[in-house]
Amino acid sequence: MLAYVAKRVLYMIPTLFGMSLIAFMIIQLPPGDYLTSLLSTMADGGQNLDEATIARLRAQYGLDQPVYVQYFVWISGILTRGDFGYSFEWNQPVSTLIWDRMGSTLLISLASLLLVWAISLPIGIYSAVKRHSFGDHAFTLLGFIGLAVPNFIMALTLMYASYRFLGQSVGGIFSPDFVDAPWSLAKLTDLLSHMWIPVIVIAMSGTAAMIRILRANLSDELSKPYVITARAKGLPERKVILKYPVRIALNPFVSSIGWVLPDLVSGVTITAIVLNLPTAGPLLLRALVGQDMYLAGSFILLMGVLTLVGMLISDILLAVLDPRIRFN
Amino acid sequence: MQGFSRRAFLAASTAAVIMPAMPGLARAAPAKEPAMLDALVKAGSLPAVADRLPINPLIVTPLDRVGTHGGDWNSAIVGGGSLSMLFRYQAYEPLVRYAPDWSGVVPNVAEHYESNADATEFTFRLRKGMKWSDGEPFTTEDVMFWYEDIFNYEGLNDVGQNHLRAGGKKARFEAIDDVTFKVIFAAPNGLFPLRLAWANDDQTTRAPKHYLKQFHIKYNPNAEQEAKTKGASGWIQLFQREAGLVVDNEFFQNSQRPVIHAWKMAIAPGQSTDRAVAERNPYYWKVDTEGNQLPYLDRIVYQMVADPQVLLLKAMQGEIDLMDQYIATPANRAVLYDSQEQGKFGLYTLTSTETNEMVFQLNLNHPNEAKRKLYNNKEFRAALSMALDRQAIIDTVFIGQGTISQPAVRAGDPLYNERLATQFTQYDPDAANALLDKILPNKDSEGFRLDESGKRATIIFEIDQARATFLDIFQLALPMFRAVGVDVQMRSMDRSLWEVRVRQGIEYDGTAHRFGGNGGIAAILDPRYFIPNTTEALYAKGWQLWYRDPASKGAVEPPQPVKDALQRYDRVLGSPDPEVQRQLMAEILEIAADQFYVFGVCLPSDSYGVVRNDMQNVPKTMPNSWGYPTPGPANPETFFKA
Repeated sequence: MLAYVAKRVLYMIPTLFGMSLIAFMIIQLPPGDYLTSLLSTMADGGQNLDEATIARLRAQYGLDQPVYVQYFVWISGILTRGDFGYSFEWNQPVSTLIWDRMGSTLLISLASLLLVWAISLPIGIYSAVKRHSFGDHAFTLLGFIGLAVPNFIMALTLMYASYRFLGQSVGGIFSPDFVDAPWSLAKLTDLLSHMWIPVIVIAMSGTAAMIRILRANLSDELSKPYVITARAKGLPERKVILKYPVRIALNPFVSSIGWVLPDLVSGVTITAIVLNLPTAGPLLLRALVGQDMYLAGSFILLMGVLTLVGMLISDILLAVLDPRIRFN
Repeated sequence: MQGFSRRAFLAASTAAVIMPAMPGLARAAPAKEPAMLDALVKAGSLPAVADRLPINPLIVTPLDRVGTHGGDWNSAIVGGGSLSMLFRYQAYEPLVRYAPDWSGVVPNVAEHYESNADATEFTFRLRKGMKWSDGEPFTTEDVMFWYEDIFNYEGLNDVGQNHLRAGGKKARFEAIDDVTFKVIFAAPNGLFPLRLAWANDDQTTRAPKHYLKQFHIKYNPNAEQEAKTKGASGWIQLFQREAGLVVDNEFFQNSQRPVIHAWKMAIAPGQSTDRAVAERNPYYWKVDTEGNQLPYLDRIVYQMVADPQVLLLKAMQGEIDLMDQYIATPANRAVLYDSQEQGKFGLYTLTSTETNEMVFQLNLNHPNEAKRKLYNNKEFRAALSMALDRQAIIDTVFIGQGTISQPAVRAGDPLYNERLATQFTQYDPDAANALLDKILPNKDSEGFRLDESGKRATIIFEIDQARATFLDIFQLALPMFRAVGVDVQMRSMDRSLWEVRVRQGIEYDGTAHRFGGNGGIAAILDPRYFIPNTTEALYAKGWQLWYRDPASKGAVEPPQPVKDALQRYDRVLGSPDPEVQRQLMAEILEIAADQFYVFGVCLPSDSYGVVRNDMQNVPKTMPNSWGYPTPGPANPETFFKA
């Protein structure tokens, strides 16, 4: 087991290197650079910068150097000093910006993940056990709707409803009055009154997918001989199902952990933009649009690392949960 | 802006406007302490208000009535975006500022200024006892620091500041005493006060020496090493970042640097990526007519919103106190109008100061010989212009709102030139065809006209896809051009590509844009469609480059009338006499009418903004411009809530 983990970690190094290289190259692909996009926003307001200024700024930001030099400066900063560089647009160290957004990102992602599990687990089991019943069909219908409706439409609809019927401040995770306030019961209530929209929206498609997977896996297991044996031995139905087939059908839940970590950064970006959530996704998008390359590059690199780590964790968990994987 | 007050212009550009100094007025009535600062004063950590104000504070007459201290101004910015927007709200404090009606300039940081008879020497007098937001005195030492150690310092002096150049040379500053200094030009610079007041151009009031000198190699020999430990490439980069004079974002992202503005950043954008907060400057140097220190509002709170739709919902809910950027689009007008009652807000009018909704610009300096020749043919451009059914475009794209016009000074302005505004605006495909039959007589099997070499004469307009109205106009205009046999196409592209191809490139057939002044001060300061005075004149960047320096890259020699016009504009800039300026400007417009460089669709109709019912002293109508950074000149420091 230890050797398995060590081997996996070792493989991660070249993968990460390749990832950082590709991430940096992709960011450089669109025409122009950070200054071009800065200039266009300024010109939009009616302002101009003259050529000499632009040239000097370009030199100052190091944008006049070839891509490989820029890459080397960036990657050597990360490796030697843990310095991810400076965000041009925000005028802050990249690491500060990313950490700043991590709290709320974590909160929303975990809350929706828990909701997904809390809803999809019982419904998935119910649907598998009572296949083709009225309840199963009803949930299936709901599930397909959940999969089919784009998240951002759902978000806009719920926002409008909450504006129209509840008269609530929309967007963000706090009302303006509470952003500054110290933690209190009122602030918590305010948080909860805002959180339900993003959590429902983000959880919806995840729930639908998870129900389908669980239903399919569990259905396969239910007809297996060991289940029939357990029933024949007179175990109560509840115990038969929960103790054996459900445990095996749980594999996709565990696998999903691998995707949770990178989702923390990039997941549901469009929803987060529409809902004005202070999560990492909108910041990443802004960085890409503004060609704020060190911020964007670091984000992508971070997502890569998180994906790899998440995969590793879920593989280890699977191996722990399911001996068959360990022995293969 | 309506009209053009010659008296105000005279006051602005010529000598000796002695503003009656009114010392003692503020002292006469003991100024009230804003509640937010009361505790600090009582605790002794802040001097009393009388000691914080200069001897002669600027007395601002509130629009409607004297207000009360306190409250937040709730606002928002979309994305991290361009923070230039913040100049409009909290940071418009040049030496002299535009009058609220944009008829001229009035004293601001300088309590008095005058010029000599030929407009080569301007004397400014600052306010004695005026202080930065940290309590340090603001004197000519700061102005001279900016002049000597930034504007004139090798390595830092890259900033535009064209208002400080005349006769091809930079201005010279001379400090007379603590509060008096002179700006001396090599040649007359009659528009200097008007240009000094332009949005954020004046930097002399934004460079606190006592703070910035720690980053300057001249004052701190270790500046280079210290900058490197802070992750900058050298002292210059750190200095620029700290000073924030080159990149607007950097100006507001620093909450440490003292300012003289009504509000200073407490939580700068970037310190938090969700919101930014500006707090009242305890040392602000303006008072109302009863001697109360301004501003009235304690804070400006900017939520950082990722999407304009969210902002729209927030405005509908009344979470935005005053705003016209981002949300005040023609499309949103109806929905905002409907939700006025629920959101407890009203709408104010923004009068347009732009020349046209959209300006078609053929590249008159195209590197391709055949295309250049074709595009430079005035009759060809006239034919294209007459092929447009402008009323149809107005009815569809602008819901019937808008007056048909070429890019021109609007009617009613003293500079109005009827020929420039109306020539070739009639929809007349027959006349267009008749002209085109002379220029491009041959057609191919599909009915498209061929150029001299026998190839189809195709014109591709390159458009920034973010400009929705341009795309809508082109959808309607393309079939109109094709109906007279000219294969006109539109290529919309991502903004960054457009910047590279059009704003920085030269190999485009044509493009479309807007802005540029349509009257009064705006028309004189930004005449880009009447004369190619900047590279923003995308129809003739080569001519502009040639005029500045015939040897420069991309320079194209302009024809004689264009040279004449450019020379006249130089004389406008140099002349101290407003009557002469007006006369020269009229001649330039006459040349523009002869040349017919570009054509447009219609005058922009007025826009609007959203203001909460409880916001007081907000004008019902304001000019809409970057140069007049709406609502900056309307004294936001006198806005209050009641």
